[in-house]
Amino acid sequence: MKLFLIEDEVPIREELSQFFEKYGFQCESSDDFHGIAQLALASGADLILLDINLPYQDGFQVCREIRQSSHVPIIVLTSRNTDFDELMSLNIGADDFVSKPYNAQVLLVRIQKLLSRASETPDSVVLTHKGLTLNLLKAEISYNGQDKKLTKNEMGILRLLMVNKGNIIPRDAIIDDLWQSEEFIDENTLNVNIVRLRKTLAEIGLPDYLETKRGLGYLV
Amino acid sequence: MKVKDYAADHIFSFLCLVVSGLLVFALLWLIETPMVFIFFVESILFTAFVCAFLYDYWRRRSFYNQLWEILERLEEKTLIGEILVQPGFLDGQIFDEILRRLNKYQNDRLADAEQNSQEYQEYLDSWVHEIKTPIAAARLIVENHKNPTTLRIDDELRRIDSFVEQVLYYARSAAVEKDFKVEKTTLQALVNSALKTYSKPLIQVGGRPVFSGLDVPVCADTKSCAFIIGQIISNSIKYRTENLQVSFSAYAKQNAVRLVISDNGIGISPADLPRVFDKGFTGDNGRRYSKSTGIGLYLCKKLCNKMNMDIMIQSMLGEGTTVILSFPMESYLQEAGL
Repeated sequence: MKLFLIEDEVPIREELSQFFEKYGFQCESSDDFHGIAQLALASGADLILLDINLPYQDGFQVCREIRQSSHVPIIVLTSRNTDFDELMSLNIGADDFVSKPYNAQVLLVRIQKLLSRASETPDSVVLTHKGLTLNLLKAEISYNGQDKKLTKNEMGILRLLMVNKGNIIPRDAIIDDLWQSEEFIDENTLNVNIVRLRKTLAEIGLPDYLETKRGLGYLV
Repeated sequence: MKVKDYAADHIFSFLCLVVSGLLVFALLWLIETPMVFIFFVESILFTAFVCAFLYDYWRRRSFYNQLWEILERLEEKTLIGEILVQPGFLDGQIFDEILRRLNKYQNDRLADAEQNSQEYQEYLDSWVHEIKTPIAAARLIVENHKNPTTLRIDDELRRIDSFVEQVLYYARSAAVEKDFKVEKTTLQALVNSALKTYSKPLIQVGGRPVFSGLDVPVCADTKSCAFIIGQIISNSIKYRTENLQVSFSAYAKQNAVRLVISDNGIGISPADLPRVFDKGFTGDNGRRYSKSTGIGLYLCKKLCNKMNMDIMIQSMLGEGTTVILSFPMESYLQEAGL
């Protein structure tokens, strides 16, 4: 799956690319904003992320230009979060509208939704670390040919840890991540979920996969 | 202008005239003029005085009464200099000229001030949008490099972001036009979105949200309402006691759906309670907790007023605070043609 980023802020472009690459997307972008619409189309991207404030021309024009020759999904990302911009974007053919500062996870979910609707066979989005594979669409883990289903919360925890492999993730950050997907759990529920997740991992032969760093958090 | 006031104002002229009348009488009497002539002279003098005063009184009265009337009826009082009819007497003309110049000066200053404030607001608006780009970039960097240190930076970034939001809504609440987008949503969705914004501080103090019966459809501006609920949650976090619990519930009353947000915090003293929506009011709690600005609830009230919503607050010192947001019902809005 390939994404094309039309964004003139270099830090945002780079960080978004890095973020999506973690989830197995290919990212392309360009600094040539004169013919950016042509470049985006030529790249053969499956989805285009588009900023409104651009040099030379605004994102609305770019969007219109792309729409003249293609139905590729477009998500508008912008700091101009006025209702006018939102209506305008959707009216000229953008598929979704996300305003800054956006939550990257939310953005990812929207991209996955759009992609699965646009292409008939949705690619499975998988994370792999130390031989363990997490399938985000099926909520399944597999290791050495063994599969196990995870609950929504367990998958959320494991996803967060696997995306940030090698880094300690504090407990409050894990709870916060689950809150962002509207699971308003507390510390006790987190403990229960961690215990269950450990058990499931042990069952497929990974008893020490999830490490506890006392007073700091968890790590895979 | 009343006759009495006019007479009192011209008391000196009256006195002079009476004295001169008496002197003429004395003089004529001394040269032994017959009484009938003296009477004639005096009545001529008297008639002349009366006519002069009546004419003067009438001119002034008609001018000033008209001026008062215009002033009463005029909406933009500072435009009176433009409408005024020039009076026929000298001091009135001078006064008229001064008033005109003064008004012109005043109107120029007003226009300047209005333009300045307009430009400032536009600048602020664009600034808010500018600042969101680096905040978004910084938060993406954290997203890609999550570890205990960067996550603490992220907490601070979220605080910056909520302050920036406050600026945005402050500007919005002062704007004349009502740019709100009312759409169908549920109370749960509004509360969720506010909780997500204030998730980190709430989790860090061990706070727990409790919901009951929030699956109620309402018509509201999602972003503004989420902002208001967020401000209330942030107050609950600020003025908490042990085991913070914020509960959200809803009930319908007459033509409105009411969202009840209660916490088990320190509460507000009865003396402070009527003034919590005043701008800059921090009260007793504000003095004890240095982070109070007196802006949050003031903004909530102002935004609610603009959106035809009600906000009420109840509290018992030491027991907690309850804020009630009242959303007009959809059917009621339709009847009102909104």
